[in-house]
Amino acid sequence: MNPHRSASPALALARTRLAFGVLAFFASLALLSIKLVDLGTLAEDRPPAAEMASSEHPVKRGDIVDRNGRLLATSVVSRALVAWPPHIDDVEAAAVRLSGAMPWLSFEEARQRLSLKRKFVFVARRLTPQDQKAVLNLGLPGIGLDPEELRIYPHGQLTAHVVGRTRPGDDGPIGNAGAEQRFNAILSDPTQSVQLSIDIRVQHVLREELARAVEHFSAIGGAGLVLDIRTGEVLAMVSLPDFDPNRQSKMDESQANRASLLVAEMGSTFKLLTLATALDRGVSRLTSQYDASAPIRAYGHTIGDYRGQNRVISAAEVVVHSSNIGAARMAEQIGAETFKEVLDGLGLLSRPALELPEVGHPIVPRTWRPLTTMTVGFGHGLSVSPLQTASAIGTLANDGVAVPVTLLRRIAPPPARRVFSSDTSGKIRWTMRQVVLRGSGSRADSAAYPVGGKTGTAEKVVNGRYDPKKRLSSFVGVFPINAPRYAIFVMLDEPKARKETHGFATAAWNAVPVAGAVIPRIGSILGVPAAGPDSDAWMQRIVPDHLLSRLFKDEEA
Amino acid sequence: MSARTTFFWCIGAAAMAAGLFAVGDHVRDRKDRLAELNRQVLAERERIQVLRSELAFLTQPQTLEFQNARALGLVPIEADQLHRSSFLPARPASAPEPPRTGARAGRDDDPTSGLPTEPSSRLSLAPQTGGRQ
Repeated sequence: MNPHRSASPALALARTRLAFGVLAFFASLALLSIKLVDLGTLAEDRPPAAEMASSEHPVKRGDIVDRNGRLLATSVVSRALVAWPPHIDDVEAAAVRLSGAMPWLSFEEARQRLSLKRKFVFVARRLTPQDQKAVLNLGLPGIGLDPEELRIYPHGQLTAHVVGRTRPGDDGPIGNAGAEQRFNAILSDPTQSVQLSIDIRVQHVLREELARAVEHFSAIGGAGLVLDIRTGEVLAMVSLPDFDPNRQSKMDESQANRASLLVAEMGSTFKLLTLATALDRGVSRLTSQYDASAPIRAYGHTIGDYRGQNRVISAAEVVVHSSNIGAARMAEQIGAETFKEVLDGLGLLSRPALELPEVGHPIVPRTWRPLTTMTVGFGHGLSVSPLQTASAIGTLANDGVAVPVTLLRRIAPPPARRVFSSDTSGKIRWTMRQVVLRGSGSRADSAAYPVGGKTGTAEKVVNGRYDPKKRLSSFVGVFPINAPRYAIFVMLDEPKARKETHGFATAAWNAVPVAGAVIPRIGSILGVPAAGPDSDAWMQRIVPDHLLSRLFKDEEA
Repeated sequence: MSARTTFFWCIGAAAMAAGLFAVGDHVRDRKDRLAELNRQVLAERERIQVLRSELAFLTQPQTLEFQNARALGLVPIEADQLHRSSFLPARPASAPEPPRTGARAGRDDDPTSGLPTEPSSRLSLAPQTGGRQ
């Protein structure tokens, strides 16, 4: 047997195996090379870095600013304490360490959150930088920090009812009150912001003076408004008691917005509307006489005066001396249909279109009886909001032109609609000024700005009956009345009498002084120059001095 | 295909692969840099937002009032300090032309009009600042 021949198959086998081995090696090397080139040049096995960075930004809500650009609501980035329970080895130990690092977080609460059978849970929100550092230092597996949007309100309670508040949502905060709720869709775009008509300086003055009065007169609440009657912009809106929107606490009914949501019988401030309607429709003149010598007995009810003149009085005196009897007779003369038409034109019979969710519907009697016309004449039987009242009186003073109220800063000229003639507006402004000069509004007058207005004190309805101990006292004024620009409304809810008010708890003693304190302070802020010594000269054009004796009995004396 | 051609093809392919790798690597570096810049922009925005919020907190009207009472003692502007421009009387037709030199002319409402005149060395600078002698 040839040994070469016998060795040849083994050698051939070895060569074949070697060839396969070399081939496999080079094939693997080729595959690795291809993969290397692929990874280095072509592969995109991670998201584009720029997109990844931009998607991390957690702030998804725009700002709310006042008319001068001052920040009222904004968002900053905070961190939440989050957990991935399946990745936590020892829940008890993790809870002990977390509660140890952050004493405000109880062990029980931490353990309960970490024990949830979910992939991901929020343990706590709004961590301070110190807490964030403590969590990172613990280095617990399955525990981490997650950026979240924190909504903050730099002015806190000052703008609470206007700006509103938010609640946490899956995709950032969601507005659930005030402008935050009304403009939620716009604010959900972080590139958008909402500019309100509010002036934070005017808001501060109004809230400060109103809060002082609420405390001084032990009232259960109060409301205040300042409107620009030419543009319809709300410059200030205050309701007390208020709340801090920075704290997520539950609101109670007493914290509702009294300026726009509350509807109530406004009382004697309505007498201005009655007089305006009577003058405008030719039913009455300022000199027209009304018998207020005795209470009216009509339709089973008695209408009397609070401090009656007990004589025949002029139409001007009906307002200046606030005669319910005279106003009822005047309303009766006007007639139900005409009166309702004018009230509707002033927006008092429908919900105002203010940009807030908290706007009340007026309570209009289902059946408008003849007695209703008489009682509405002096502000009873029809419940409206302070916002509606201020807007209606603003229309009277604004040359009789109604401008829709708005909470947004108005750039374009507002839509305007004439409700009363210019002549009627002048006579009403004259009457409002007389209320301040010789009536119940004297404490609202200012040395710098002539004010016109009207007080109203209405008893609240409790269990279907008027309660003489529970009153809403209010004052609505316009300044400067010689060139009307701003309307102010002040209301105190259940103010109490004090020694210096001689036992009275009426608007003349508590609401009017608030307006008297606010007007000089905000006048200079709003850039209104002081009126000169002849600021009341315009009144001569409405009623010359020599005719005053025909309007006012006391002028004869 | 000769061995030499194959060799040059291999060299060419390797060079292209290396070039492609270098370009890809550069692009990735740029993207990382862009992401870093985006992160910095976001961090800056966050800081600016926090500063704006802090400024709003610090300029609350009641805070300003308190700080003013504590340190400055300023008082609110009075209504009689405000006037409209229409309040100003019109200039009489016979009024002299205002001086056109660089030196300031004293005016009735100029609070410095009663003060000593400025040093001549400063007045002499007037022509250089565009004034006429």
